[in-house]
Amino acid sequence: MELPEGCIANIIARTTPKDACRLCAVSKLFKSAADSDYVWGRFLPSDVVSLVSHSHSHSSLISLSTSNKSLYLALSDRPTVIDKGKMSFQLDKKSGKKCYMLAARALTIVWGDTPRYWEWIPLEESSLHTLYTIVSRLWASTALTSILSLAALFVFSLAASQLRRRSLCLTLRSASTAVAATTVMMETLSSFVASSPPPFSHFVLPLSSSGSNYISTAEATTDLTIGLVFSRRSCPSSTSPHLHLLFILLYLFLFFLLLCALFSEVARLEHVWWLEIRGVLSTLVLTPNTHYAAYLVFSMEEDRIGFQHCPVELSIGMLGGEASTKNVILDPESDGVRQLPNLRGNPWLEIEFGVFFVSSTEDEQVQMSVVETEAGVLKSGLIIEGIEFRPKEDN
Amino acid sequence: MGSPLKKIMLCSSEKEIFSVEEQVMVQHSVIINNMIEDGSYNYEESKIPLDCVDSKTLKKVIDYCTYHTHHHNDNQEDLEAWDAQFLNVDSNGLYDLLMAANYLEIRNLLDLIYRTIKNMIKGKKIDEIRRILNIKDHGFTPEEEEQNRKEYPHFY
Repeated sequence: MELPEGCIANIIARTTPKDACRLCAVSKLFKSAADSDYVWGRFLPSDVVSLVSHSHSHSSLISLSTSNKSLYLALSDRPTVIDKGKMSFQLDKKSGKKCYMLAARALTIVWGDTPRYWEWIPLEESSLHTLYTIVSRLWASTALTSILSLAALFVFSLAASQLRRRSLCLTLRSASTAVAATTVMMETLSSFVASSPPPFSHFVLPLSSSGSNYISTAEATTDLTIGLVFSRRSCPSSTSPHLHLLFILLYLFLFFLLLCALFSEVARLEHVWWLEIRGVLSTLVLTPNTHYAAYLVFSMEEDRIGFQHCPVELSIGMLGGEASTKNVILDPESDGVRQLPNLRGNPWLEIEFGVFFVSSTEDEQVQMSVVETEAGVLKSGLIIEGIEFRPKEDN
Repeated sequence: MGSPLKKIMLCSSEKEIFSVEEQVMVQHSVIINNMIEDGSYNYEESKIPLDCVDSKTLKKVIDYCTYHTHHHNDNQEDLEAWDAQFLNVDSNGLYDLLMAANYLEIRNLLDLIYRTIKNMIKGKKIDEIRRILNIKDHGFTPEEEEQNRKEYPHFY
């Protein structure tokens, strides 16, 4: 039977984003349907436009997203900061369900306004923003050269192996409209790469050969050393490493992100005896009919004290309902028998508060707390990024 | 909306005439609802020609619409059981039903069929999906197909 494309799109829209990517391989018609705006519009949350318009990087999000699929991938690749930096939003890549993080500023931290006890550390602008600016500037310089038929080489070096699992959105535009958008997994990218002088690799962007100038924008996340090199299209990708090195020296912009945090500031514990942090979130913002888990996202300084042996009480529950409580050790290097935090990408750690269910319509408030007030131990060296909410894997 | 007792005539591709309660089709089919509403249907003379729907399929479609009109207050489980029994057809039958529902714009039947096909291909390997949906020509060039198979061997 030969299903019409519209019917195929309707079938794919009832699957998951992960299935949609896989179903692309069934046939040309499936591929066309599985990439369609209709299908990806169904995977995006219905309130996506208002969510994105609250983000401070929304201008680049909108302009870089030439289709619903690329918007979906951009939103699932990395968190988007919303609500004046007090929250971040991200889509779970496989299911399209919403993930949120409450920034430290959105939490109630007892003594948080007293610099003697808690210090607020400002951080650099997000990595995306920096990259975007650099690439825009790069465009200006190539405009002056007016070279016809450019080929752009996307030069990068993988600083962290975990990046291989991430995807990258590369968009090429002429002065007025986007001409091509490619989203590639870093893993795929690394199999595409031609040999550049180590530690660099490069990827040739599929530019059209018409004779206009192109602006190239690239978007990436963390720990990526990156740059764009322009050469004549006729220049084969296997040119000598020396030539590439020349281009690299000419055009490469390097930047390293030492502390890659999402929000513009994090809270650092100077010292307290009384540790108490509370957070609350309305479940209305989350995806209905889903089990969520909440995680404390934090880091520990080298010279921390008071966390190695002294358990901290984590609790979670709905406002007015029963809370579930557990005692954990926040210090990752403790050898105790209690639950330890998990690494989530340097330098951040996370530990689960617990799981809760978001029903369809009710507006409930989920409350979390981190408390240690009884041991009388002086505590220092804890850095709080926020509290994250993600759908629990198995649903 | 027409009165519940009025009948309309549907004509299959084999020119067989089916007489159905107007209410049943108006409630389910967007196309027929539009025809009745804009007055283009003449109760004395008109027969709605459905040249791309054969008698067997049309009869099933009418069964579906009739059942759901008269049983819409049944509990969800009973309706689902009936739907599952109703769609217990071979893939050609399912395809014919889909085409008919698509043509007549019967949204709840379309949704049911889409979900059924989704469940048929869920978690299946690409080769299996092609077999289930009887896709003979996938439209990829041999190079593209080879590239896909090389890149995502676990899909096949």
